[in-house]
Amino acid sequence: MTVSRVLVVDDDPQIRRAITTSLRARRFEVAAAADGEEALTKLAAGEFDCVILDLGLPGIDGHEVIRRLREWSPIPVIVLSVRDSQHDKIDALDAGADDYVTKPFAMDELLARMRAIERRAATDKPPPVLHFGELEIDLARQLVRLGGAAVPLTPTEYRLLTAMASHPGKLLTHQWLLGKVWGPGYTSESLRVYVKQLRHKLGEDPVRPRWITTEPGMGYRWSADPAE
Amino acid sequence: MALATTGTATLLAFGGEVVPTSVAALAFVLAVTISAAVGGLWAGIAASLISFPALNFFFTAPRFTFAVEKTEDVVALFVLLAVSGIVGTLLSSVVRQRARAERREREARLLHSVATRLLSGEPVDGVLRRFAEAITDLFALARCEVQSPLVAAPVVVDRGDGAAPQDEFPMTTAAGEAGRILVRAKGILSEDDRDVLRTFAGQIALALERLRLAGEAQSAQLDAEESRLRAALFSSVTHDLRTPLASITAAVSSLQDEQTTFSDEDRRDLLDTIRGEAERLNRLVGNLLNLARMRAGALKPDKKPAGIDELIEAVLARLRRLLAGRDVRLKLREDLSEIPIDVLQIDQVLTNVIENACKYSPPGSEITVTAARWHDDVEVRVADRGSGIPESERTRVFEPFVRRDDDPRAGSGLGLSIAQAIVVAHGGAMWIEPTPGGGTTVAFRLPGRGR
Repeated sequence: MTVSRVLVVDDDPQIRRAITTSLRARRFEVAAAADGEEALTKLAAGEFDCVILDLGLPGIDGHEVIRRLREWSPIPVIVLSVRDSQHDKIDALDAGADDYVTKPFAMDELLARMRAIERRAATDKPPPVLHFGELEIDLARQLVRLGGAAVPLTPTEYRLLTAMASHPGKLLTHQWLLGKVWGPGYTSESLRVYVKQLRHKLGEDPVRPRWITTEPGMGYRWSADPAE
Repeated sequence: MALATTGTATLLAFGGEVVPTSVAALAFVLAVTISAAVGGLWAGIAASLISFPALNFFFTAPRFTFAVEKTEDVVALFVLLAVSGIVGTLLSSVVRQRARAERREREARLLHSVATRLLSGEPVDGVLRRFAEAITDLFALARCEVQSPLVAAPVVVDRGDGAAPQDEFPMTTAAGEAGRILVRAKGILSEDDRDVLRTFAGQIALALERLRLAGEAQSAQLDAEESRLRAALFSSVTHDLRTPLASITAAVSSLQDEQTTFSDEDRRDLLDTIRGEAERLNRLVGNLLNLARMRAGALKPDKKPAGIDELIEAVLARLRRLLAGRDVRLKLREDLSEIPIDVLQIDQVLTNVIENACKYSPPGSEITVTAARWHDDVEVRVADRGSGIPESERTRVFEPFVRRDDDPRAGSGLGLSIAQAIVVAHGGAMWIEPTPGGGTTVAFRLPGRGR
């Protein structure tokens, strides 16, 4: 799937203008809505590939828009939120948002999220070998190579790596990763320890991460744009 | 009482078969003395009035009649009456004086403790309640009520049936009425008791008045401090908001100027400036938000277990632009476990401390960030290679709006004070150390799970 038609929902005209102009310059087809009501109407009437949705809207707020939208549409939603509300982001993700960007954000961040959504739609059936720069993950043979050399991983480390690498660009919450790799009933302490080991084995510098970035308090994200 | 002692005396004297009248008389004097000492004047008089016929009836010849044979016995009888009368009167007055002295002492102690407690900042209603309870006991009152504008509701102690008070003692000072004490006695209040209660009312009034004046002085001082802070905040925030806005406006307007062509490098420089300054504005807004929360007393951390090592790495990754060209050394101990923190708030702490280290050390110099365990706690240090802070200034840098050496690069002076407030709200501490070899180290400790 290619994302080409985008609906931008924000009550602030300046933000709306900045996002629409930047996206149009990158050849996206962009429509805008100033509140939740208008957004739902436009979504029901038109065809869109992606919604960029501000949470703090007058009238029907962003959370409610996601809930109503999810009753009839699986369209990807990227939420815009202010930095101060961790709960807001988690609530939005729980309600069915696909990702979020914190205001103020850089345009390249938003574009990276949109590319991640595209890639995810495209990799519903993941290829047998994933490539991220010099990192190669052979899913069929369960082999990991870094610059051609095999990386010895424990089964848990391998499960953690593939859980992340098969969702590039997506915020993977602690809870989701724990459930995916260990099953229910584990704490984030074990996750943190394994991420640390995995980073170490992949030769990651956490301050200049190539693949795994930390989203403090929320989870991790596998880089959507592998460094070359 | 009188009957008991004289009865005992009679029995004692009787037990010894026939005793001389003089010995019996002495036994009765003892009985009267004890009665007066224990039971007071009236018991003494009663004892002597009983002793007189008892001695007459049982011990003077002819015995078992009220007739008296010998003249000396008549004298003995009257001497007994006189002696016991005098002894009783004296003793009972001594006893009464002692009781009164003891009571005066209790009253004085009570007054003193009430005045001290009021001025030492204990809650007024609590002190007045204890006072009301104490005087209720002291004067055997059925009800005592203390009213004062310094307490929301009157303080009431009722040991009776809840009937309305009948006596009123205004608490007045030169400045006016500071309240009143309303009492209802179980019996009748003596004039003496009234005097004491009036004195009490006056003394409490003075203490309350001093308390009111102290409160006014304190709130005046707070007001002054508040307006000083507000003025400082206003000027520094204005400055801090304008500086990045000025850079942004300058950079954007140059780029908009169609007469000028920029080299790719210059263009990138200008755009980097805009982005860096916008990020700086965003950090400032974060600090202002926390300042507002702090002043509203709403800086309550939402703690969840998290790894400080990961957070430090994430903050350094986010501040990459600010740290460009710096030699950043990261030393994280392997044994760091998760500690309960508010991730967003500690993120702000780390951001402020690292931004501060950048601001006060030469470009390109090294910044070392370490995190290690200290028992159950975690200690984080951010060390720069700047000019350092003299020991006398080391606590002052945490005061809001204090900048190191009046440096023009300095920000609002908010960063460290907010960082410290957040760490303290987490139950930790933040302080300044010299960096070995020169420079400043900002250190903080956060409590681990054990606490």
